[in-house]
Amino acid sequence: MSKPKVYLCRCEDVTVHEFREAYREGFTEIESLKRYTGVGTGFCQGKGCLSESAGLLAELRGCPPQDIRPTTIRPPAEPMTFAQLAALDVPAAEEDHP
Amino acid sequence: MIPLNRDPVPATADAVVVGAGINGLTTAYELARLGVRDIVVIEKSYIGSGSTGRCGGGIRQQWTTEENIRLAQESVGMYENMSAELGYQVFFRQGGYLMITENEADLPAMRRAVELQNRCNVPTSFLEPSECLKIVPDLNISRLKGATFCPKDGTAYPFAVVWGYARACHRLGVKISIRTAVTGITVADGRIARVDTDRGSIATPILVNCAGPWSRSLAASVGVNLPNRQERHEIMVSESLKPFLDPMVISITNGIYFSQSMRGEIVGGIGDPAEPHWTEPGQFDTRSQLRFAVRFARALTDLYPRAGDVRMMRQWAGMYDVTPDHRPILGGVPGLDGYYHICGFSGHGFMLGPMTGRRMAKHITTGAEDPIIASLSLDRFDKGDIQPDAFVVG
Repeated sequence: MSKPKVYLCRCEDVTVHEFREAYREGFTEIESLKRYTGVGTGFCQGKGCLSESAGLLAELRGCPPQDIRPTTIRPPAEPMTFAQLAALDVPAAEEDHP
Repeated sequence: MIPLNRDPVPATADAVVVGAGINGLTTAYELARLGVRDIVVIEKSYIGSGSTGRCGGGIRQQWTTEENIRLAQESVGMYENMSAELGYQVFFRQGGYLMITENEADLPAMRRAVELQNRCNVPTSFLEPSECLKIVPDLNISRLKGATFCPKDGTAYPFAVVWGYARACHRLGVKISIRTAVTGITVADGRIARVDTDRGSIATPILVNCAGPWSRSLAASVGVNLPNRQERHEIMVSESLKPFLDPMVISITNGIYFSQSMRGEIVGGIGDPAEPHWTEPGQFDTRSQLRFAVRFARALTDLYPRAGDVRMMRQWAGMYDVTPDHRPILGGVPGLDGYYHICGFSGHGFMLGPMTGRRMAKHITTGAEDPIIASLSLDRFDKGDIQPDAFVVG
């Protein structure tokens, strides 16, 4: 009987085993692991898997979990359709740049 | 294997490359293939963290200057073999580029560009609006006036490309120090002598500046004044869909571009003339703006109405390193032996990088004159020899 799969990222079907393999291949930062395995890039945008991923990475690195910084949070907070976005007014360009 | 190198940097090297993006890694790889032994790549963040990893992954040969056409054409030849050469899947797909316009006034320049590209053996053709529907069936052609299409243009996954090159570099003995910042460069008797980093100093006779948007400030630290300015450009990705879109669609009217990745996502962006220009890294601001998301969504749903029901997953921003003529700056500078720059790609480094790295590595190791490098040298701006490329989009 094969070993059961434990899913780390349910949106993108990334297993704990795949995450560990990616680490072993040299993807030892959370930003690179995200882009290599796809963890956190699915429908929940990491809300369901980022802390678990960070915890697992801390274990792999042998460091305290607080040393692993989360990936950059990208808008929108929840996926929106292009029709919804297109119906909004275009905000003015920022004027506070030098 | 891409090791997270937290060791001190080596005390000596035959060449130091600053920046582990497309240009730094292709140059380091090609230098190693030509027999340069001790090469160190210094990257202040992670591999591909700068402009390369933030780009749309498009690779087109549809340009209006011969240098850009040649570099892109030769790079496409390299992309066609890249997965095999690197032993790494880079997800290169040749779905073509469809360049569209809504302005009658653009058509003569587009026809001239097709002629120039054809003379260079790039198989671009001019299309009437109705012919675009054969390539993108649901495109809104109501305002289109014409288009050009090259079936050999395509896309690749930018991170896979830099990971593949990083692994190939590693196999050839190149040391890649990530999370390592350059803190100073020492010049002695008109030669590059030493690179200082926050992990130690490296004595080296050669420094290759591949720092992208940071290349201007790095060059300034050795007294080289680059005319580059830096711009924020935003981009986004949608949820994954079944394959429905072969080419990259790009409008020279409003600057929108979008393609479908091999994961199925729509990847796209749009230029914004209201964006500011910067010249110092302290000014860079890559936060996302709602303005981009709304402008992109409006342009996308106008051009491709069926996308209205598709959800946008996330948006991000990256920096373009832009020169006055939108062509890269290559080569060295008189009076500073051992210094080279490969920068100023104006948003097109990913597509031109592989062949630029190959040509520059040959130039650095042999000193041989290269006509493309010569025509893209920094002194063209002093000579007033400026021939802008007209097809800068996004």
